[in-house]
Amino acid sequence: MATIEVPDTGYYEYLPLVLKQYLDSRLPSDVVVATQVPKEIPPRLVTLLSVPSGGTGPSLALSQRRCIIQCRDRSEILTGRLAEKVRGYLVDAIRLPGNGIRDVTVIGEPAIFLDPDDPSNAPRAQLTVDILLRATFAQ
Amino acid sequence: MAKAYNIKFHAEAWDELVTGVVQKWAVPRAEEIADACNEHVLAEAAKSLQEPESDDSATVYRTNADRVRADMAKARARANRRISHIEPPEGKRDYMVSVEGSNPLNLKDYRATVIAVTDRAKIDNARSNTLVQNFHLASGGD
Repeated sequence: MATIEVPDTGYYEYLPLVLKQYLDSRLPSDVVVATQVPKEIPPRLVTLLSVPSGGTGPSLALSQRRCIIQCRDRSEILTGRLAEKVRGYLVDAIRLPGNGIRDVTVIGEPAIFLDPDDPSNAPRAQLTVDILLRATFAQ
Repeated sequence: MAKAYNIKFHAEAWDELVTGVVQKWAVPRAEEIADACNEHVLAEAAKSLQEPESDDSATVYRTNADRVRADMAKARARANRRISHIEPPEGKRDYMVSVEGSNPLNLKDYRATVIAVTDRAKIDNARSNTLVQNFHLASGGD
């Protein structure tokens, strides 16, 4: 992650970026992880959308963030399996030191959630996670 | 010598307590979510009125399949736009708060939920994740 100037009071890295870097290191190389749906949709795609979360974390250094994750693959079953894989890797994320992820709560379990604007009804699975993030402080 | 005691819960009073808590604390919070979601549906419907239908008469499609896909997308968009102007039935709203639980109550049974009632609300939620986007409003503002 690029080094940036951070305020003394702490800086929380943008959650979709944190998750993108983590998932990129775990998922197969043909799965595209993006923060927005690209114009040309690749066959295997995971998109990360940051949404508002309620209360703050238990301390100055910890804060809660919420993220909606949508997965697409070639068929309904593959899509469902990709979403479950993503879920598993995310729950496992707290074991990897240095990524800033301190806790993961899956508040919306993976399920098929079709896009009403997609005329082909291409399968799309969705899960929602709450992540407790650790802030970075100025050295 | 040890004595055995039986503790009996007053089940009806317990149910009344849980019901009271849900009605007093959970329902107003769920109403906040529903209000925000309803505002979103109306705003989206108003926005779709201002958007002209896309004109692709000059578009050249490489294959017939591309043309069929584009036509299907247009038909879907037209249908969604039409649905977005169908008002909810009398006495209903697009997103509503529902309170439910069996009788007698089981653990975690009695709850307040926000539900998408109308088709346009269901489409709106699938398109924009409106319920999850507004879920933080249930935190009570603290």
